Amino acid sequence: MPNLLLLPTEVVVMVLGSLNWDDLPNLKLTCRRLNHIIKDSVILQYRMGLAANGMLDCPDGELPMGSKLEILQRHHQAWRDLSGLEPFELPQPVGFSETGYIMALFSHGILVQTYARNRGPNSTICITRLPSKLRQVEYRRWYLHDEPLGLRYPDLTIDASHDLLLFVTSSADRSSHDIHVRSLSTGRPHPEGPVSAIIKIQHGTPFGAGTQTCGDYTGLMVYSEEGSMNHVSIWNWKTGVIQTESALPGQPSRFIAFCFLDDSHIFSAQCLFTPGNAELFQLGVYNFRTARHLYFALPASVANQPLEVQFLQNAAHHPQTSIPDHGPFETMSYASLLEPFSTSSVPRAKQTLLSPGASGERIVLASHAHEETLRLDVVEFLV
Amino acid sequence: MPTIVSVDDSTVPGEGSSRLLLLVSSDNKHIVVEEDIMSRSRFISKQVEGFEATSQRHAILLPFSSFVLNKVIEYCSHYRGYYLLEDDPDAAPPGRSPVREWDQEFLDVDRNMLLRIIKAAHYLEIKSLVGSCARAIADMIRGKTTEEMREILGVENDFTPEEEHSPSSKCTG
Repeated sequence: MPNLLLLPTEVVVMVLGSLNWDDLPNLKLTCRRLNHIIKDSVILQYRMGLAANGMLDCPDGELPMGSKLEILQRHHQAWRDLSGLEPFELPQPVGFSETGYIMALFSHGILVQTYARNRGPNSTICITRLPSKLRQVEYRRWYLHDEPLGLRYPDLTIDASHDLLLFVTSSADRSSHDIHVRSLSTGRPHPEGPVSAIIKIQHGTPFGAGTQTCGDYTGLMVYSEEGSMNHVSIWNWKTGVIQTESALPGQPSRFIAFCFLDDSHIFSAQCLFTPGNAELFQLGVYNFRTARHLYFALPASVANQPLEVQFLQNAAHHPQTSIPDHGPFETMSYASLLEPFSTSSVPRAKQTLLSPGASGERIVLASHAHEETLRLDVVEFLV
Repeated sequence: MPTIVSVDDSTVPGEGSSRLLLLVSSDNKHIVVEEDIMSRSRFISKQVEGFEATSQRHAILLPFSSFVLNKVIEYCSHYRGYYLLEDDPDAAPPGRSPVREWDQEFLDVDRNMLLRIIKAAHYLEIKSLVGSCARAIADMIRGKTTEEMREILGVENDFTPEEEHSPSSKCTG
């Protein structure tokens, strides 16, 4: 009777390496030998350590696995006891003025600052990679090469795995809006993006700080012309072609928040306007490629109350399919970073919208949707 | 034990000019196969290099049954002439084995067979097949409980009751 343990250890490690990290704890309890193999395997320990902390490996680096594990463990330790902290003084960007100033910190320690250079009429963007001694990441700073019109308080996002920087500009009278598709590492038009480097938002007005991207797609919430309705628009940022303009066709509704689950699905919280003007809150998954929906039945006591939603995602659960044909950091910019590992590159949904009169706090922790199935790690309603 | 036989150094007409190999399975079945089909196996390639060095070709004895061997030959025949990154000794191994649809269907067998194939593939040093089998085995235990995993993998719980409940055997990441 064959069993796994009769196989050579290196083969067993290969099998275990094909598992999701969250299967390993159960597997450790099956028997002594598997327990030891998991404990002794540098690669498995490293992968579990990454996954448990929402981090991803950067395969381009030259460090051996053992050093990566050691750095990862020191990194965890540093977070636990806040040891080895050294102040880092961030220099002001060139020509910095506080006019129209915003700043956003993304994964990978990428800081994006938008400001009017020398108090000029237009704004530009300064991108800084914050240094990390432990992860051997060096300080680097670069700028958008131009000052696009209408970039005062832009809605922006990045996807390091695609070397992508997206930001939205609006004309002065807020009648037209563009999504700019740039290379994160150079600030110039993204080589894979549309030739004009711009996606025109044809219908509606973007609102909130909600541009998100996943794989080839980018999405944001827009108000439609009527005003009270809104929807989620999703484009293919490589072609500039709109994929979907609404996740809820035919039904008057208002989106509260959404996040990408992978490059086919969004998870959303929305409010439906039912006949008689009652508002009904819903959580759902929408496949924007096949236009299929799935809703969670919320208890009436919850569905009738204003919904406050925060989406959190764990990178470890993010299916590989979100980054087709590439390892997580195969693109040019990240090949040049050579960090041993990095925080998640997947869109980390971070939207919260407080509805007036919300009577409690509700948290949804969605991990991933894959092939029409959704896994919800924690759904908590505290009313 | 099978007798050591010399293999005729003839070529196969029509099918290129690949030489033949005689493989002998543990149940003493003699299987003749074209050399370039089996060139995916590092083990076989090294044997063939040995033949060339000594100008002596003889049967290759393998420690698994003809049932398993035929399955491996089927795999190698399917990918005859194909380049697979994992089988390139000079290429850096990919982090995870790629999913190949044909392999998934090919490996849709019971777990005993799967474990036999992976063992044979490891012996023969066919990395792509080891990788695909590893993935297939992992798929069987994904999301299962500890008890279900034991059953699928055919392993016995050899922890003492104390150990089983001690924190050191639990996951600490």
